Amino acid sequence: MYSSELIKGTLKTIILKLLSDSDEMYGYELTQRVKELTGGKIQLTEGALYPTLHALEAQGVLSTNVVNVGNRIRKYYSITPTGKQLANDKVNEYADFIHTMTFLLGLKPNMG
Amino acid sequence: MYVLDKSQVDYILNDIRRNGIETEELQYNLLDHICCVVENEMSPDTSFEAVYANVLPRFFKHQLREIQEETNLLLTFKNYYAMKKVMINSGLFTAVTFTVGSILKLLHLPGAAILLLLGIASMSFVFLPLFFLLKSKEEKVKSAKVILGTGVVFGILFCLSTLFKVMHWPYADLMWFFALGILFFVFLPLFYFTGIRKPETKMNTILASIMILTVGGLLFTLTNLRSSLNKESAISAANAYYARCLDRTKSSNVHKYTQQNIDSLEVKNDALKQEVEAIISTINGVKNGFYAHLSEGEKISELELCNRFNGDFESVAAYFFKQSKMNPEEDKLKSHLPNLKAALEKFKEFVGSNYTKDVASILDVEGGKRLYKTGVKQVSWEFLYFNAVPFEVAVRNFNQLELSIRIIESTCIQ
Repeated sequence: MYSSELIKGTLKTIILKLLSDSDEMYGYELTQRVKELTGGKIQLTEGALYPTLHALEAQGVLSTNVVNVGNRIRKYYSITPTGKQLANDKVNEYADFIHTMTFLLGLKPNMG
Repeated sequence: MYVLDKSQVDYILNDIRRNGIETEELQYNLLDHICCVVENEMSPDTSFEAVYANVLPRFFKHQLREIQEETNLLLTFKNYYAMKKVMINSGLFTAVTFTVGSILKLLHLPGAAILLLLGIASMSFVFLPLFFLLKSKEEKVKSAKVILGTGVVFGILFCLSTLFKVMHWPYADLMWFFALGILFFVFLPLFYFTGIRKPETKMNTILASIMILTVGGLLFTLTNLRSSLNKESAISAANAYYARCLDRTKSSNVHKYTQQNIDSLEVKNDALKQEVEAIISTINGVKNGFYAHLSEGEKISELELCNRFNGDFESVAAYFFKQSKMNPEEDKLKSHLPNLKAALEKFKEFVGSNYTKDVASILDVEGGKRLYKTGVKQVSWEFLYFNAVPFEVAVRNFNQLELSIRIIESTCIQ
């Protein structure tokens, strides 16, 4: 499990990427998917996930669809076209960031 | 898999609400999430309550409210950021326009007024209100917000009164005194007595209060610069000189009339005397009408009026002109001066035809060149002597007219 500091900076990127790879997902599903994909190494905390989802929705990056499930309401999130572009940008930016960090931290001394 | 029943779902929803989650959508998001986790972890031998009590604490560090607060922060952050940006840009804009405007004003170059106006307006209506909004959000204590608020109100009034003063608009002084009143009697006591209570801010509060008092006092001193004793005594001496000249010319003329005992000339002198008295009463009529308007029925001497309206361009412009733009192309005359000018021209014609043109030319009703803010302009007599002049100059010009007429009279008496 990584520190929450590391995850906080990448949360938006993770959410946008996962949503642009699937039709729609709800909050719990997102946390489970991340857990599953990373073998439990990254666990999204609810305290960070939902505020970010709400902010992204307010920005028009995500759209929502409300469905009745049993005795409760479930909110599915899907990505809008502008969101897709943002997801792309974020992923590219992050790839570049990793590249720089590996160099900066000397993880591959023969690089550059 | 276990499915929560309606009462259990309601129980969780109520608990979420009780724990400070206010946004409905966030409530339903969390409800679904908690339900999913609880349903996953329920086994036949555990109770719902036990599992729920175990699951809920995983959602927060200290309390569930954190999620609501974080959401609010993220939702308002964008606004906050934009406001901060606008505030900084408007501050920068003010600094630039204000500096350039002041320099232009100092050099009497065009564009000063509009730059100062824009600069001060952006300071008073954009920068300071935003500053208050953003700063008061950061301040947790109510008293700090009140102090900030009064400080900002003082700042706005100060800026606006300066603007009004520079533009020669009315109520600048009133606004200025109001601003100083707020500074000395509201802001300073609040600031001082709040700050001095805490040991950590005591020293800084005392120092800052002294600074505010000093700067405020200096500004107050500047307010009183407008009319000095020296200026008043100079004006009264100049007025007394005029009055003496007039009196002496007048009595010399009276003496000259009595020297004459040839009948035919006496008839001519009587006609002159009549014309002179008529034109002087016309001049005095206009002058006294102006004084009566300014004193609003009060009995005030010319000298007192000069002291009271010393340096006042507005009162002259407002009485004799319609727009008081201080620009002969846009300003419009009221009837007082054109009527007076017509009477003066008639008198001049009388003197020119009965005596000599040279004598008549002592009385000047021609226009001439005058320097305005917008450049040198050829203007009529009314604009030359009464447009964009302070009160004391208008008075001087009226008195000069009377003196000119007495001199003509003196030359013409036979």
